[in-house]
Amino acid sequence: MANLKEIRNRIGTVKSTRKITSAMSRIAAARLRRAQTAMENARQYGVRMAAIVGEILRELDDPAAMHPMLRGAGGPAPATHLVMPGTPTKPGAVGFIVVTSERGLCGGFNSAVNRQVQREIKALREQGRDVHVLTVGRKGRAYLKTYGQVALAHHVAPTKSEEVVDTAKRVAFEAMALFAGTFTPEGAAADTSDEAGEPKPTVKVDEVRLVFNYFRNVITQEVRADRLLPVPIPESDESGDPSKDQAKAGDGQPRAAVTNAIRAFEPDTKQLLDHLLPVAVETAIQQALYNSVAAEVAARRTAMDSATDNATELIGELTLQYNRERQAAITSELMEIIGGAEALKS
Amino acid sequence: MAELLQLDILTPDGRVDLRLVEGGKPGSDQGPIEVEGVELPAALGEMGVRPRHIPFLTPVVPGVVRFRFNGDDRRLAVGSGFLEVSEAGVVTILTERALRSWEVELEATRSDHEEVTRELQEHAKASIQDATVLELNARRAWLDAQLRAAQG
Repeated sequence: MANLKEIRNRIGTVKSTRKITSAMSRIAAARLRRAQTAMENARQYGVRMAAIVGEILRELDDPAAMHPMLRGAGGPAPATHLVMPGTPTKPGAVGFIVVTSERGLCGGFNSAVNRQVQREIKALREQGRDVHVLTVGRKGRAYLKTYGQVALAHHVAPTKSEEVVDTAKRVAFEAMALFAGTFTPEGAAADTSDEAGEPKPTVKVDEVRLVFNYFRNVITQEVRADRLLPVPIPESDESGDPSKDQAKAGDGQPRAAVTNAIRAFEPDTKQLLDHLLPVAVETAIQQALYNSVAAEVAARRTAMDSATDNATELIGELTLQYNRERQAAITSELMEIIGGAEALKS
Repeated sequence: MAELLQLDILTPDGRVDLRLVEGGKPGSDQGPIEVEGVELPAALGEMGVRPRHIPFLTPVVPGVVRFRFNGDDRRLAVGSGFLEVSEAGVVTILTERALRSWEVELEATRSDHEEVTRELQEHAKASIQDATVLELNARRAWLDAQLRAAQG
């Protein structure tokens, strides 16, 4: 009977799908612990770095004047900045760093980021501002391309913690170049560098935002869109961060109190900022990547877990249907035989 | 016993286990160690920190961190980062990477160093602000630090 065979085939298909999803879920579970540890280790470093950066930035009287990477951080940006000749950008352009994954099958992980970016891009375009995008992870680039936003530069999403540091370094370098107006898009560089005297077209943005999945816990990832450049100045010590600091201080070390105590620093503020701000940017990207890696694995585990559950449920339903059909077939066959026998008798 | 200070080295990979001895197995995270003092490469030159240092903050450049722990002279290659001395006397070195002296792969590092030096010579005429030159210089500084840590 054709129908029975169809159902049997379907059960087979669902079973092999379940094998795959359950294997993926187990792999993700095994990777999750490693990714989570890496992220927590990195967070410790990130929190301390953020504390130092915050402490110094808060004590500046006029941050915008102190360093180009703080320009526009507090209050309106001064209108005079050097724009390279040939810069096609209007003022007010915004750059995005979009962090997604290389592979799918991880629930709403990538689409959440993509939707968020699309929403922001749409709002900015309506204001008549230019948008530039740097992507980390194939999924974000592919999505934005269909949306008509080609990435200026692309990086493969890291999966191991050793790769995170290197990728973060390169992305940070590009983000800072973009902000400083010295960024040369990959394709354009090769085209125009031969023509002597012709300045390479550069792209400049007045703000860089970082969009990534923040790993809240194993079942919750949330999309964050943080301003990366100009380096944001944290409000005050007492507001939000101490709680986060305290949570991390549970390792029994006498915590260096994050206070406003006057601290000596060397060399002067300007040079300190020269060193500090690039590191701050790099650390922020690093943290985002670590979070994204852990969040991806967690999202994949959750997604594959529920896919496995769904498959099991479906197999149950199909098996029930199969048995019912089979019984119906047997019954009707019996009826035919009995009917035939009765006909012969009479 | 002389007064001691607490030393802690943090990298994006987590806290560096300073108790670890050569050939030993990494143990659980036990927090900062207590040492009599530490030498490190600050932006303005090599500096030493002893107990009761004032609260202090300065950039760290790639180089070698030296301290004595359990009667052993220890050396670590560190990348660029920061030194923070807190009021409580905790010395924290935040650095992008750190390698213990015995973890340096001497042969590979040496050949990398030669290669980077050669590349730098090829770029000798480029501007000092050139992105490639900056990157090569940064790489060489880190390789230098590793070699110095490994060779004492």
